[in-house]
Amino acid sequence: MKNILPRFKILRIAIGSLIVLFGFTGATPDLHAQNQVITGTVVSEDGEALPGVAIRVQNTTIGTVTDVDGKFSIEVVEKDAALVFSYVGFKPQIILISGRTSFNIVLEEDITQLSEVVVIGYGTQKKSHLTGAISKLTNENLEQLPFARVDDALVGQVSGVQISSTSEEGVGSDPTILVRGVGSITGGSGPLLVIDGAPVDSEFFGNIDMNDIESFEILKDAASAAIFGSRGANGVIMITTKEGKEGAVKFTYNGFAGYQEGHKSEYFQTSINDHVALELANNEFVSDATRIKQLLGDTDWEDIVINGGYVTSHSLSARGGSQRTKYSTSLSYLHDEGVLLVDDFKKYNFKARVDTKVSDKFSLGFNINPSYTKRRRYTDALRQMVRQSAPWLPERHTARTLQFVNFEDFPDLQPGDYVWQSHFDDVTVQDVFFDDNGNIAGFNEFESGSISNTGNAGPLQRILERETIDERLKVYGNVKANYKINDDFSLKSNITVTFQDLLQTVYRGTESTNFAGDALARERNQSRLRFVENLFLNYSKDFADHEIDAVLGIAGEQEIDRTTEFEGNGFTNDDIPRIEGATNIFVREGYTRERRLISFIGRVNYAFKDRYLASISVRRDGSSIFGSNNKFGTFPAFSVGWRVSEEGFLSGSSIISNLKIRASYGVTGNDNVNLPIPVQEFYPYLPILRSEPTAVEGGTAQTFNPINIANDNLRWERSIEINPGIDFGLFDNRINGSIEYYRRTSDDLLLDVPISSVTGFTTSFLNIGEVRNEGIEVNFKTFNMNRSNFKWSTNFIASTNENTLTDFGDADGTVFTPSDGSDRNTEWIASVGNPISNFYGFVYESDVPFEFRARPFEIIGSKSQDVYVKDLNGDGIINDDDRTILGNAYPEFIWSITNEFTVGRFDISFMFQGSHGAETRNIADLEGFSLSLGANATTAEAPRSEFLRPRVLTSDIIQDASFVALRNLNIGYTLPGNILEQFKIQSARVYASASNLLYFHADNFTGWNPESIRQGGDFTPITYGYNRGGSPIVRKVVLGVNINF
Amino acid sequence: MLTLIFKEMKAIFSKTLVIFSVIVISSCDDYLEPEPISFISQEFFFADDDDLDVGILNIYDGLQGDNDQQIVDFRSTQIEYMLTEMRSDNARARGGGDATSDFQQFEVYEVNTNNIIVQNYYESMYNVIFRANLILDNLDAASEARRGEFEGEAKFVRAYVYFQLVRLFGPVPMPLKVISPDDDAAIAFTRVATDVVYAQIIEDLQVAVENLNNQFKTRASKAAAQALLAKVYLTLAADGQMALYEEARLLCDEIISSGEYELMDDYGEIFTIEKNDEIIFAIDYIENNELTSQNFSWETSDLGDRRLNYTTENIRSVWDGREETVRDVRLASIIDGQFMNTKYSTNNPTGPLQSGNDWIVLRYADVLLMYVEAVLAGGSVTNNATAISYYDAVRSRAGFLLPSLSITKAELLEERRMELSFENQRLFDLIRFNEAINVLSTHADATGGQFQNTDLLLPIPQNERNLSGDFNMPQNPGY
Repeated sequence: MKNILPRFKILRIAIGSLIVLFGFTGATPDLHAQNQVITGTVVSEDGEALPGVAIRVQNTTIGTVTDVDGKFSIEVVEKDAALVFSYVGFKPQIILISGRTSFNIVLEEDITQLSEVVVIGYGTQKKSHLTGAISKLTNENLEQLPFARVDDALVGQVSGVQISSTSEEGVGSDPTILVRGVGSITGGSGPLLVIDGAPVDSEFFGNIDMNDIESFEILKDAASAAIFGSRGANGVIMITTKEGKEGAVKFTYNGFAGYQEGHKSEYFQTSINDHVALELANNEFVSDATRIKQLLGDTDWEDIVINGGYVTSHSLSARGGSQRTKYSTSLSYLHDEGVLLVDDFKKYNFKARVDTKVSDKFSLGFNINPSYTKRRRYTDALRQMVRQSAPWLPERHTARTLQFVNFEDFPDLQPGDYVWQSHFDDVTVQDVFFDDNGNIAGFNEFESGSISNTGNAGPLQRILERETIDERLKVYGNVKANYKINDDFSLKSNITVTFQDLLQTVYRGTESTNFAGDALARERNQSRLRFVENLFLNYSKDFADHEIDAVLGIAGEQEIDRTTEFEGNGFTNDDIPRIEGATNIFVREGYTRERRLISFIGRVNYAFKDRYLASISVRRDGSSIFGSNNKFGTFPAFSVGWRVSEEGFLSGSSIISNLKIRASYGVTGNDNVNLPIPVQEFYPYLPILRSEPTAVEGGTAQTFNPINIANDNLRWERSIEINPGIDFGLFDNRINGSIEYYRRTSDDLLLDVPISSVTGFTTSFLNIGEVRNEGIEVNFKTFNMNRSNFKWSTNFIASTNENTLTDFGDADGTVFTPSDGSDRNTEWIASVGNPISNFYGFVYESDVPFEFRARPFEIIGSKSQDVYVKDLNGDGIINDDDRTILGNAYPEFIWSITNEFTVGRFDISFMFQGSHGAETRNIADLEGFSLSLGANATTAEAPRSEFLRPRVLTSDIIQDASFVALRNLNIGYTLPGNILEQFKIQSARVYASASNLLYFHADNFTGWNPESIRQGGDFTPITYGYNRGGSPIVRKVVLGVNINF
Repeated sequence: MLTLIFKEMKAIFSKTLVIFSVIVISSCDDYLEPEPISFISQEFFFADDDDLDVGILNIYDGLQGDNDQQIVDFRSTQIEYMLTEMRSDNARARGGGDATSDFQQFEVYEVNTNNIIVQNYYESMYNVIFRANLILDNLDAASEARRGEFEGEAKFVRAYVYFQLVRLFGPVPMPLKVISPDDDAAIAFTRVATDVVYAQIIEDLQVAVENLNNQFKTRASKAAAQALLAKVYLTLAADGQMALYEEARLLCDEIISSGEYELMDDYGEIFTIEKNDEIIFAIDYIENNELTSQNFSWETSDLGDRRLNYTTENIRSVWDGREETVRDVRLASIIDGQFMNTKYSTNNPTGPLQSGNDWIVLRYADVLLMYVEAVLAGGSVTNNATAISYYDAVRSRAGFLLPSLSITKAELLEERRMELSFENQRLFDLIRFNEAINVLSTHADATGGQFQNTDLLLPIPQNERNLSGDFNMPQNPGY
């Protein structure tokens, strides 16, 4: 994944620029003419020029930085002065001038990165001083990998962070990100995303270009996240974007192109020959219907629908600047065809960042990042494809297939038309057979009878004739200003505006179902405008053995959402496939809603003798979500650390080079509300009356409809987390790592709980219950080899998480039956002592014997709709008491291991990732061809029929969702510099990369993606793990190039 | 230029400071209570007559129910036929009875305690009661001149809903104000004795009779309250309070002598011409609008997913035996050898999912026959001339021209069945005429149903009982 060579390049550039910006530039113009000029270059051990290295005359404020070529020039007054060269990722070096005027400095890499600076909420901290659980991922060369989205780059990189592609909609979907499990019962279980200090919606993950990212910091424990108060309850992912740097403009181009295909399920790969074999085995003859199917031939519908696709990406950035003003700008384009038949995703992204020093004390920064994406979703679900298809069903009609069509019922069929199963019902087919010489020997006559098992339109038209297009415009804009009051105090302000607009157009064409009259169009326009302002006073002081860092601040947020939706029908053709073409508009909906937050924030970080560390913070949040008595919540945090390795008794240790023990305690809150009516989510404490038309005296009139029971007592959902941990470095930091334990207890969960309907409503939104997440995270990085021509490092991360519902008030034992719009009412139970959500149902015992199925030969590969279930309490009857917990969808153990090699100019890396212990309720295959197709119904004669229950309600569809994947494999080659120089290219690398080249799932898993989980609607964290097909796992191979010039 | 921008920025920076200070100093509460735009808050809503005018329509909106193909939203009146007509000898599902289907349990009397239709109806009806109670709780906002009118309308609907509930479920919880899930759990889970419920219904309807006029047909009116009260009295009289027959007769007489209602000449036009002279109270629907239409016209036809409320062999044989031609509602409805009822055939053939046929609750023919029932007063026969004239008025429209000499109880029951078939009257008629057990057992024997006497009441939804906790809400016998 990574090569060692350009390891710190990006960070060093930025830190260098930061140093320039904040530290020294202001001082340089004051020098006198008689001073001596020292010049030179700074290179790494590999001989590579190091730009942005900070050079300071010891004990003065005079300093400079190296330019792009690593060259520097500095004037000094005293001939015996010493120069300090410092650079992130390298050991600092002090050189005595001793009268010389020219130096060539070689900086030695500091593989321990102990001097590394980590971005924490509203500030930075030395990594060595961290007392909370913060993982940092520096974009060393992640941008040199083919990630279509930045969150993909995080997969398998950080312990305790689980990222899975759960969506059913195909390419361009947002993945699900969980930090340390599910804490909240309502919707908001994803972490907060913070870009350059401003909290933004998680959707903005989709519009950041990997090339613009400097680093990720993941705040995992509550003590670290508490500074974000209510926003940090599920962890925080902070992204720092790249700043420009002083010097001539430098361009970077990264591009890749490749091909991808989807994981196919063998379970669905059936053939006509299977029909024949089954019939011969059971009946000793082949039915007429099957003979006709044989004549129609085999079609692999999985191949047609999971058709693979190309992916292309170009990204060009330019960075540079003057001493005072630096800029960084980038343009990128991505086209991902996805792996399904119609899905397609295009992204255009632009970013510009300018940082400038107005005066010695005052600096300003601007950042703007608009992006536009256009996605065509895979509208229908994959399972539908299986359900409407069959191996004998041709893709489209041809002259040949038309021979077998029932023209009485379907007189207008032409070659090229879509095929339905029922086209072949009730036909008599004459099949010619030939003798050995190829002459016609006679005719066989077959009656197809009722050959179809569905009357629905064919699968191809259900996919091609429906379109759902999401066009999103997202803009992130940010202005920040810093004012340095004096050496110790500074004032920082940051104003961020994010805007996103979604225009979703849905069109279901006249040929998308059996009836042209079903055609409809929908248009949904959704926008969200969010302002985030904050103002902070920072204090930073080092004196004697004490280091103090303190912030005091205030932050405000406003969010305004607007949505309008129209739906219309009355199409007689597909000429205007938009709402404008509808002759009848029957849905007109919309809302505007606004939420606000105000926060008061304070934090002190303290280090004594660089080894005794403490941090204390408090945040007080006021949220418009709650009633007047409960608007404010207070979220304190406290953490301590001890750098044992700095103590005298360990100073000479040849084994232990770094050791830190730390512990944290923190409280965070949650005001994210998940309710079926969106407008209610922002005003759950108000009794809402919504305008609706009602019929009265033959006309329609406006009325106001009460939609909820107000709960003025609603208060903050709260999480309390403790997190002890240990960081260590062994053998001169050749082995680094950390081990930590966390326990997070969330209570006062915000939940819409069922209440007596005599109140007029069936649910009421309350604070209820308590959930605990606990686990262990380990993280090891070893530098196995570190020679200049051969480097090898290994990174291993692993985490466990156990989720337990510890209290659920009166709702303990509630069985939830989410509706997916069909009649498959699978159940979940929330029961104290178990995870938040558990699959619930009967325990499978055995299948209904073949002979008791209504039409067992009709759908090959299908199973009986009903199965025998176990009488768990042994009372001789099967009733609700025989249901039990059947599993849950939370992995118990996730891990990844990454190896990186650098051999000469080649770099090789690969990552394996695994997840174990989760189950999935895989309804896709069953629905695909065992359910609601009368063929699988049980006949009346079946014995012990009182012990039969529908298979969907049993443990038989609970499958193991574990997997092990070779997430990526990369081989790169850095071109030699002498060749490139003629083309004015500084460096260039070509690479090949593959993702999911190997993907192993459990034997009993029969779907396309064990990670797929239906979410939204009735499917909440409390009814988690429903797999209704999902987009297949994508296997991708790309070739790419990274060029700097 | 650049310096200008910087100056500007500096200004913005200092303004930010000011804004923050303002936010901090000014009351945070205002800042943290953004005014909603897309809805109004009930807390501040009911201030005057205008608000009540809008609010009161919401009660009827609740009765109309949501047009939803699933049984998720409050379906209300739109699914009532399943609980009434489908449990009588008139109606069946096209697919026949099926104990495992929530839609097909009713006709075989194997209704589960967690039947979603029963639960949905229960939920819908209490939602309507909530809406009515919301108005009644806010009557102080009304002007003195109009207070009675608002009170009458809300109480009429509340009485109607309790009348349906008490007949379907027996003793039921009876909130008479807006209740809170925390503080009023006792009200939500206590089943009030039927005589107490009836006393409340009578009291509410008397208020409605006093305060309303006959201005509306799809909103409460004086005649609607009178007709409903007459039916309440007939129900109680049949249960032993004999004196109420005369009360019922007087109420019917007042409606009849008001001269404001008359029979339609054409029986079919009762259902195709909305708000006609025969209608006393109907529930209004407007087609082609998801929010104002109904889909029972679709669901009870061969267009529907479930094809319910088809005619039974039993009612078809009665039509045939009586040579009913005018009121035989299966005519022209034979599809695949099955017979739908066509009384509420959609008025929106191009979009039957959004039908606009009004649902008739009370009509003049019903009142005429109630008059006869009151005169009969539990006896087996009458030859009261007024009663006979009303009875014959209904019959002659149906094509039976011979004047009657007397009316027996059995004749009246059958006449009501013919006249009011598929109008959700049959089950209640059978119970009121004390023929339910007899007729329904015979019917169940013929169709493979499992009728028990306890099947006359529906089960209290299991979900309510699960939620009742320590109140341990009792179930009806037989479930």
